[in-house]
Amino acid sequence: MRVAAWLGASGWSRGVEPVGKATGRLRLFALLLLLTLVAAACGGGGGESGDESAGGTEGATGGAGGSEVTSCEGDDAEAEVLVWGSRDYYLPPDQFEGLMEEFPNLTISTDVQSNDDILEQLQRMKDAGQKMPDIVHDDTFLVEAYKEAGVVSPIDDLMAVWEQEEPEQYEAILPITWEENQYDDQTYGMAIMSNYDIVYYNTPWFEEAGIEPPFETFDDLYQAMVKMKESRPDSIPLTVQALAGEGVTTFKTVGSAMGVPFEGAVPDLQSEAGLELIEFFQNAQSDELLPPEAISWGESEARAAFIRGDADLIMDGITVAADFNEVGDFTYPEDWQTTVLPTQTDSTEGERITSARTWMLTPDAQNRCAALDVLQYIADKDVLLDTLEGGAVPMRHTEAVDDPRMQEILPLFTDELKDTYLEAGTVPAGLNSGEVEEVLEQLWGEIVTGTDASAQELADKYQPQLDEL
Amino acid sequence: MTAVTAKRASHPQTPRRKKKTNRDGPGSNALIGHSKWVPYLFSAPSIIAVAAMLAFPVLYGVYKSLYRAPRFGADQEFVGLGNYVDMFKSPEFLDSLTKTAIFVTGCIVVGTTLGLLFAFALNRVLKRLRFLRAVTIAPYIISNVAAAVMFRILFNTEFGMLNRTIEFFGLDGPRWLSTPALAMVVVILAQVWTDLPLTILLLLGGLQSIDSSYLDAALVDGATGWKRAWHLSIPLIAPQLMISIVWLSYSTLTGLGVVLALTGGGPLKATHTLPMDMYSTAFQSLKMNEALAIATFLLVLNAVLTLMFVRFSRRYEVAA
Repeated sequence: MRVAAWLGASGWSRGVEPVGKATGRLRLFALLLLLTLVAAACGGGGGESGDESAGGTEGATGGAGGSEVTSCEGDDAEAEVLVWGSRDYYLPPDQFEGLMEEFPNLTISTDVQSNDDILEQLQRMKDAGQKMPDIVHDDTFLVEAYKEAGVVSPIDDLMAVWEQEEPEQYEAILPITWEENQYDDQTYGMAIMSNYDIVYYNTPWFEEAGIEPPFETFDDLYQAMVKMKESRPDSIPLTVQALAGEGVTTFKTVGSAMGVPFEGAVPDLQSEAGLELIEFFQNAQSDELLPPEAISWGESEARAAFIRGDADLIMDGITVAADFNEVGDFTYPEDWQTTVLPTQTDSTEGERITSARTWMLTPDAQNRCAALDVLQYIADKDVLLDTLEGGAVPMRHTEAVDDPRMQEILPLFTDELKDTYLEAGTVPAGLNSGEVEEVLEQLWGEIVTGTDASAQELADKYQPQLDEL
Repeated sequence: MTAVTAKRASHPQTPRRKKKTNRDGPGSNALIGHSKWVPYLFSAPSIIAVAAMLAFPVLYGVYKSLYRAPRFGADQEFVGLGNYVDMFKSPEFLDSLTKTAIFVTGCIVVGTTLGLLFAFALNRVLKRLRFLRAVTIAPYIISNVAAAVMFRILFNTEFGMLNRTIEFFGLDGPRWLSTPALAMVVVILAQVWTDLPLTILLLLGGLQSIDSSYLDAALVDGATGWKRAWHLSIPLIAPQLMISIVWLSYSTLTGLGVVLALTGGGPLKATHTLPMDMYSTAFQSLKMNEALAIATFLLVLNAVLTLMFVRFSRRYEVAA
């Protein structure tokens, strides 16, 4: 009654002086606001600690949600596994039907979350105490963030069982598949397929200009672009993507190939190789080999320029070959061919890198043997080739890349490409990868649009910003 | 002050006395109609539902903006207004705020001007051409991301239709999306294109509700064309004009899709508006609490702008 009176309810509050209508409303609003804030405060408790577990996320950071396994032989218990793929073409084309036929007690459901927000979704599910999917898929450079958020569990026990029970398949998988996902001596996923940035060039125009790839050094590549400009003045010798938000993959890939030292995701721009990297693109811009319009080019514009014949050369992922093949009158190898990036400058030497996506187990994957079955199925040689045929990228699997089907599916995967792919390193990554990309995007933008600043001045301007991250 | 409120002010006791009489009267309901509390009691389920659905997420967002985590998913610590202080100290944020001011102002000016022009035109179309009124809604049913992609193709320097047309006349087309100032113009045009249908419909509705006798009287007095529109029609549709400006202001201040898909905030952050800043802080830098601080600021800014427009509109109505 007192509350009613306080709110201005005169009829229910005898003996209490009624308050004004406006005051009553104001107080009611204040009460509602207070209640909502209290509810918010109570609801927010779960999200304040990354180490707190909610629902089925127990032991998220330390170990596995399900018990660690030492053997999966004879395990035919009923199990349901939910798999979230980051792109439809990374999932086996049969949606695991082959595996479910082999293990009738296993039910696998799949979902594609292509909005690049799986990490945020898992964090939200964890905070809300909801059950997360069992297996998720995302960019490998984000694995550390997943680990720190406590939404993935280590898979070292499964790897040990795999090695023990299926040694042949395990041996065929390249060590980088696991190494790329190792933090604090624990492995957090399997990066079995990876994209590989290569150089695509227009075959007849290169022949016309007398250019013969591959290129030993970046100077050779630069001279080839200069020749192209002389041979076809109206064409664009180098096409890149510099649209904000599209990432700076080309810049980082070429940086690695030139030998720029990275500390986590942060490049050392002031190093000798760092300065050469900036100079390479600055010179290309000032010599009109790289158009300033590229600042507004996403992957569609850059690829369209190459397909239309406006551009002589493009640096892009190997997966793009499938898109080029779909274009009529633009066939491999008559109209276009590929070669690998050089790894040497006059004074430095670097390494080629591949950018992978990792399959990870969440702490809610209670049936770890069933999860292992799913991982093994994904990494099966034939399934990998089927997935590649469906539009995915090459695999870190020695038997699969040597299989004759590989050449049928991806004819451009020549021995040269294969050898360098198998030796390639990983994309420099860290927890601050996103922030680093933002800064590099600014630098990349300045280079592409043209600037009066020297390479040293640019490096001195951006390196402190990078070091702060 | 209206007549009703003036009467209430001069007789403040009247309503209370009347209620007392009713409560004691025969056959009266002791609950309904006597207590100020009862309507609130009966409305409580709806109020609670609405509060839970609408207010809670907003307040939860505000609450979480007072925390900070050293990295995504790590322990969050209470920092009070720390995120807001850092936000206002950040040159990037202030730059985004400037870009947002240009973007919102541009959209309101261009959107309202075009909206008025189209509304007047559609108001006068012949019966046979009235299908055009339905056609104007088309941009509204197209996703703004799709619209942005369409504009990206249209304004492409190399193969965009606009530059191809300019080249046809022997001129070089500008680099629309790679020149910072022009990129902002394109983004404003694309955003206006997606928001224009509602503006037109609102203003057209207002124009059609004007009593024709006013217009006829103005005509008799010799006011035609521009004079009649400026001195009669526009003041009479001031409420609709205000709603459309509030709508444009809200839509552009929070609009992300067009900018994200058209320029990604570039070139060189020329179109990096506050929603873009919020998006990149949340999904690129993975700083959720800091992004919530920007979201809260946007919320407040929206409320302030809306109140400002409403106040301005009332003053204009009185003046009119």
